[in-house]
Formats: sequence, C-alpha cells, structure tokens
Amino acid sequence: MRPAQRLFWLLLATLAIGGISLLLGAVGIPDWNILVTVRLPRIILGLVVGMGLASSGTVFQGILRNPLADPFILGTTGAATAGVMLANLFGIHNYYFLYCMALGFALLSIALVYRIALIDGKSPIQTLVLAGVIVGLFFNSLVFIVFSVFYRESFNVLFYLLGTLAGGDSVLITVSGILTIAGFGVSWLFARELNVLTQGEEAALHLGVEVESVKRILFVTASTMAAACVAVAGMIGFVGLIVPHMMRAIIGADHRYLLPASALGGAVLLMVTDAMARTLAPPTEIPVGALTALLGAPYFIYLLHTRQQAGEF
Amino acid sequence: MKKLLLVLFLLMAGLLIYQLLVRRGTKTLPSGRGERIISLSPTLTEVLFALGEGEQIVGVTRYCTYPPEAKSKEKVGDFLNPDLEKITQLRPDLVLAERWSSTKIVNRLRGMGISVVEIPSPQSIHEIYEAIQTVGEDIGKSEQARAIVADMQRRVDIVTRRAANLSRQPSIYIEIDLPSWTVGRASYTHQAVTLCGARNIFGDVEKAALLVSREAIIQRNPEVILSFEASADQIRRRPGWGEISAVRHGRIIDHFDRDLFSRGNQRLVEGMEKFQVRFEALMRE
Amino acid sequence: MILKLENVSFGYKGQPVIRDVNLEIPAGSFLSLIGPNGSGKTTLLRLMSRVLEPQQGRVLFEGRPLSDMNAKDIARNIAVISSEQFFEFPYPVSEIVAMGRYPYLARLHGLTHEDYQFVDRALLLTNLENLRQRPISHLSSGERQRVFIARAIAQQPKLLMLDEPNAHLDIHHQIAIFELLRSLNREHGISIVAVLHDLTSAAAYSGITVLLHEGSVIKVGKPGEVITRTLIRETYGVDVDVFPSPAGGFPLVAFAPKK
Repeated sequence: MRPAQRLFWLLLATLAIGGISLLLGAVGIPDWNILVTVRLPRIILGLVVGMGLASSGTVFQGILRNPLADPFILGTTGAATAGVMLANLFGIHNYYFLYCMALGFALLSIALVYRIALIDGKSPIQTLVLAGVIVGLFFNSLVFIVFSVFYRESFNVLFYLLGTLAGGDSVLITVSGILTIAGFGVSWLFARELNVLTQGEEAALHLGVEVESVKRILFVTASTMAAACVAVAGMIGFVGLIVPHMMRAIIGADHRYLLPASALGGAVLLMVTDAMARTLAPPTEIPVGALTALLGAPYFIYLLHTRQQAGEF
Repeated sequence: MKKLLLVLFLLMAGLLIYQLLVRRGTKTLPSGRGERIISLSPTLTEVLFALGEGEQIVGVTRYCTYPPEAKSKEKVGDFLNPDLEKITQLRPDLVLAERWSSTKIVNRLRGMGISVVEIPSPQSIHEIYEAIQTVGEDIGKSEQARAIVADMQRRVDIVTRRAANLSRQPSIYIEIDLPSWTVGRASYTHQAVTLCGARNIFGDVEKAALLVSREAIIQRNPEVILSFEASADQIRRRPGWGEISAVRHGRIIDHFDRDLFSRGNQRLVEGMEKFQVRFEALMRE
Repeated sequence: MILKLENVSFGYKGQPVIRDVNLEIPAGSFLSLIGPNGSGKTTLLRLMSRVLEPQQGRVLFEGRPLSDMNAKDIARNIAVISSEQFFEFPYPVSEIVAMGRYPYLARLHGLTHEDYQFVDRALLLTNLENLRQRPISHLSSGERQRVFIARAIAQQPKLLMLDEPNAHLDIHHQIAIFELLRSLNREHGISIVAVLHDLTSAAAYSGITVLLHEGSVIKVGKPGEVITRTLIRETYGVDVDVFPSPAGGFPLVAFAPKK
C-alpha cells in the first residue's frame, strides 16, 4: 500500500474510533446533554492533544536527530507546573489565568533553552538538548521546593498538571486546538527540510537548507504544540515518544507522510486510552498518562525486538 | 498497519462489551423534593448529614465514609478528580466543594450552569464554625447550623475548663503523616490540641502543615507524642528518638482515629474529647 | 577560475587556523588538499563551501563572492561530502539521493520528471541501481559512501568537495571511489577538491596538489612537484621514500619500519 493510501485509512480509523468513543464513558450511553456538554468536548480534546503531542515528538526527533526524543525533553512540564504554582501562591485561582500561566511558562522555558544554546548565532543540536535538560531540572526543583514549603496551598495545583483530559472547557480546547493545528501546519510545510535535516546539520547546509532559521522555526512549532497540550491536559507521557516510532515503521521516515500519520496515530492512541480511562473503573478515572505508558511500553519493546531482528540499532 | 488497527478496534469493542456488562449505578432519577446536593468533600458530607440533609445528597466521593449512610450514596469519584459525566447525570442543584479540590472541575461545572459553592478549608476552630454556618445558609438550614455550632462551642468550653485543671502545659509533637508531617499554628488540629491543655512544640510556626526535620523534633523534646500513622513501636525504634521524653516515659498516643482530628467540622469536638481523656490518663501516670 | 581564495584568514578566539591563503582553482581541476593533522584542511574546505565565513579576505565562485550567494544558490553549484555523515533514520537509498534535488525544488511542489531523471542518472553513475529501495542504515560503509556521492551528483554541481572520502574504506572501495571521481571529473566536467590523507592516491588521481601546513599554503603544483621527500619532511616531520610509480607519471610514497 502506498503511503498516501495508508494515510487515508488512518484518517478513516481516527474518525471511526472517535465515533465509538462517544459511546464509552463513566455513565455508559449518555443522554444528549451529557454527550454534548461533557463527552464530546473531551473526545475532541483527546484528538487535539494526541495530535499535538505526537506531532511535537515527531518534529523533535527529527531536528534533534534522536529517536528517543519526546515533547517534554526540553523541560516543558516542570515550567508549566511552576507557572501554575506561582499563580496559586498569589491566590489567583481563575482557571483561564492558570492556563495562561502554564502556557506562558512553558513557552518561556523553551525560549530560555534556545537562548542558552545560542552561540555565535548558531544553536547546535547537542547544546540544545543539554540546555533543555538543565532548564527542565531547574524548573522541577523549583516546583519541589515550592511544594515542600507551601504544602497546603500548592496541593490542588500539583494535580492541575496531572495528565487528564477531564479539565478542558470549550474556550481552552479551542485555544490549544488552534495552537496545535497551526503548529502542525507549519511543521508540515517544512517537512522536506526536516527530512534533509536528519542527514546532519552540515549536510543540510550543503544541500541548500537555511539550517539555523529552519531549526528555529521547527523548534518553535514543536515547542508550542507541546506547551499547548501541557497547559490544557497536564503531562501525558509516551504518546510523543512512541507514536512517531510506530508510524515510522508503518509509513516510512519521509516527514511529508510521517507528520500527518503521527498526528492521526497520536489522536487514535489518546482517544483509545482515554476511553479506557473513563470506562474501566467508573466513576473513578484512571490517569490517562499511566494507561498510555501501560499500552505503549509493551508495544515499544515489541518494536525494539523486531528491529533488532531486522538488524537495526 | 492493518494489525495495529485491528488490535485497536478489538480493544474498543472489548470496552463496549465491558461497559455493557458492568453495572453503572441507577440511571433513574428519584423524584426529588427540589434540592439535590452533591458533596465533593468528606468533611462537608459529614456536615450535611449533621444538618439533616442526608436525604438530599445524591452523590458523594469515594472517601465519604461517615456517617455509614454516606457509603450507600452514588459515588462520583474522588475529590481531586471527580467524574464530570457522573455528576452531570445526577443533575444536582448544588455542588459543595472544598477550596482545595480540583479547580478545573469546579470551573467546568459552573460553565455548565451548575451551582457550585466552594468552602474555604478552615484553618482554625472559628473558621470551622463559619464553614458550618455557610453551608447551613446555602441550603436553608441556618437554624440547625447555629445549633450545631452552639453545641460545639459548649463542648469546647467544657474541654477548655477541664484543661485548666492541669498543673502545667506538657509539650506535644503531633505527627499527622509520614515521614514527619506536623501541624503549625494555622491549623484547627493545633488549636484543638492546645485547648486540651497541651503545647504544640511547633506552634511557633505560622503554617497549617509542615514537614519538619527529625533533628528539630528531638531537640524540642516533646513530653507527649500524638501519632495518626505510625505506631508507638515504630516511633520507639527511630534512631535517636530514645532520648525524647515522650519515648522514655512511654507517653505515645498512637492509633488515634485521624478522621476525628482532620475533618474540619463538628467531629473535631468529639476528637478533642477523646484526646483529652487519653491525654489526661497519660499525664496522671 | 571556478574558485578563488583571496587573502583568506580565519581563527578561533585569537588562535589563527588559516593564515592569509591565496588560491586559484581552474575549472575542470581535480585538486587534492594535503597536509598534516591540524594544518587546517577541513577548516579550509569549510571556508570554501561557506560553512564558515572568512574573518579576512574572501572566496569567489566563478567570480562571485560566496557571501553574496544564498544557501540554495551555493547548493546548486557546489556539492560537499563531509567526513561525518548521519544515517539514524531508515530512508531508502533513492530518497537520500533525491534529497540532492532539494536546492531546485519549489516549495509545496514535488519532484518533477526531470528531477527524477537526475536522480536515476546519479544512481546509475554510482552503480546503486539495485540498491534503490534498501534503507541506508542497512548498507556497508562502502555502499553508503557511494550513496552520498550519488546525492552530491544529483545536485548537478559544477564543483564537488570531499573531506577524506576514503576513510574507513577497504582498498576495493577506495579504488572504486577514486575511479568514480576521476570519471566525474574527466567525462562530466565536474571540478573536484578533495582533502586526502593518503599521499599516493592523491598523487595518482589528482592533477593539482595543494600542501597546507599550519594554516598556510606551502606549495601548489602538480603532484610530482609537491609530494617530495624534502617537503614531506618539512611539513609532516617524517622521512619517507618518494620514487616514481611503475605506472608512470606520479610519485609513490613508501616507508619502512625503523632499523
């Protein structure tokens, strides 16, 4: 099957699974009110976040030339939590404001990472990764310190960042949705450049790619998508790491097909796991991040195993 | 890819079947008398029952285990991440939540037009009175609320006067959680214990709860220890703790029902009374 | 004159690496750049392909300053194969080679029929026809090197630059690569600048040799004029035997264990 055909089937599958998801949840088959006000937004959020995380992971893996990169490799979650905690300390509980703080701080940490890694107008990949680890650690420590000292006040906020799709309301879903789709669109425009970048920065330069500006653009889009997802849904791991791998095995490494495939694959994975999160032990909700890890890890091991047999890695 | 999609579809089908088989709780809504209340806080659930609103409660959290009638109510999840669908299905007129519940859910509920009252978590006994009053007013039972508060005040009074009979104020270390979480001045637990005649060794700290270093505890040498989690045995075996007065004289109150001291509501008084009895017994030895 | 370096200097933090280099490379040359480790060969190559900007002086391609050309412009004229290549992702050979057409592609447009013809031609010249669909991560280093050369050929360059193309290759592949380069130069008119560490192959295949030492050009000329016992002793610091090859026309460098 040609890649374009596979994409088509993937799209169909996404819509089908979305439809089936409407029937699954804590109250079984819901009445119209619950369906429209609670369940549908949640499924749309699953679509958006799945798409955003997977696309972000794909782009990061491409520009960092690291198949083990995930959207949070540059410390976005810690920063987002720090932002929300800070707002909470000042007694601000307004939900929209907290979202802005989470988004703002996540974007801030990315700008910081880029700035730290910038030397002589260039930001080599290795330095970016290191800077990301450092900034991530910094914000995480900040979060821990604030939490230990202001225990009682910070409690509800810590769980703000717990990965869950329960929280988005239509405004925030729309904002994150727009950011994610925009990020995806721009990344897709640069899919060819992304392909060439995987050959190495110097090789890409020799092939005519404006490496520094392309890297900067892709960096911004991938980070924005990750930040938009974290701000609305907290930290949901594994999706950004595994889906690009899965899709690379299915549709190939050409980002012109890989990016949309990852987006759809991420949406599917998250919708399925969120359906499980809602349905398995009602009315308790199993954290969706734990389920993605539970589903993802064995599949990842399976992938590694088959690749080893095929002689890679 | 076909394999993958097949697996995913099978998974979804499996979920659908599972959902069909597992009981979802009653879907029929009982004919209401108007007020349908959901409580997202075990503390507030207890208050509601005390105010005689038990009938009107249609949903509680998993952790609402007191009074026993609460256990038979529909569950909506836990207080940090309650299930929105469930709550919506139960069609509440009012949702009571404590300030430290998930802000997300409260906002969502309000966005759907459901009335949510957030009660700030009390940090002192006075604030407990206020909280009970507020709840009472919100459900139109201010009289009953006033009665409960009055009763509480009366009993607190008795406890305070009994405490005055003690020759001195022994120092106490209150351990609310492992490894060494204690309460500071801004907590009703602290107040409760103080009114019973003990002096909280960390009463100088202007916080509700804090994680302290074991060194500080040993240095402050409490004469009594009140523990909610750890047993007296476990405490005795902690390195360096053999020096502490409480350990040397065997004045450790363990297995104390934590609910009596950690629910910011009328049960606190019961906790105070029970504590005072054990406390006095210890000091008499 | 396909490439001209005028008073080019470059250094890092006050440490000069390239000192005032002047060089004229005629079109159609096969130039070997030799010199001891640390003499600045790779840096010079980077300056010639605009990865680095000269701190003094300038580099001209067919009379135009490199600094006036943008990345795609340069890529349409100069192809470079660095010594370090990355192949973590399993692209098939044909796609890697197709990346050589990047400088010619309009945004949002696919490869044209013409583009595919250039790719096919590159695969033909490098003898990779039957490896088209193989993922690059599955190839031997010899085959991989040919893929990168094919990609460079697909760029339709006038000038091809290579940095130690034969490192890690066995003698079979070394000769194969050199023959390929020679035919590209002679039959297809592509000028070649290659950094080489093996003096004998440099002498055998190149028409001009440039000897670099501590950032300065020591000698430029025919291989026989540059690769001499004296010059090698002065720059590389070793004593070797240099004598005419039995094949005729170029020197052989040989050495034996010390007695």
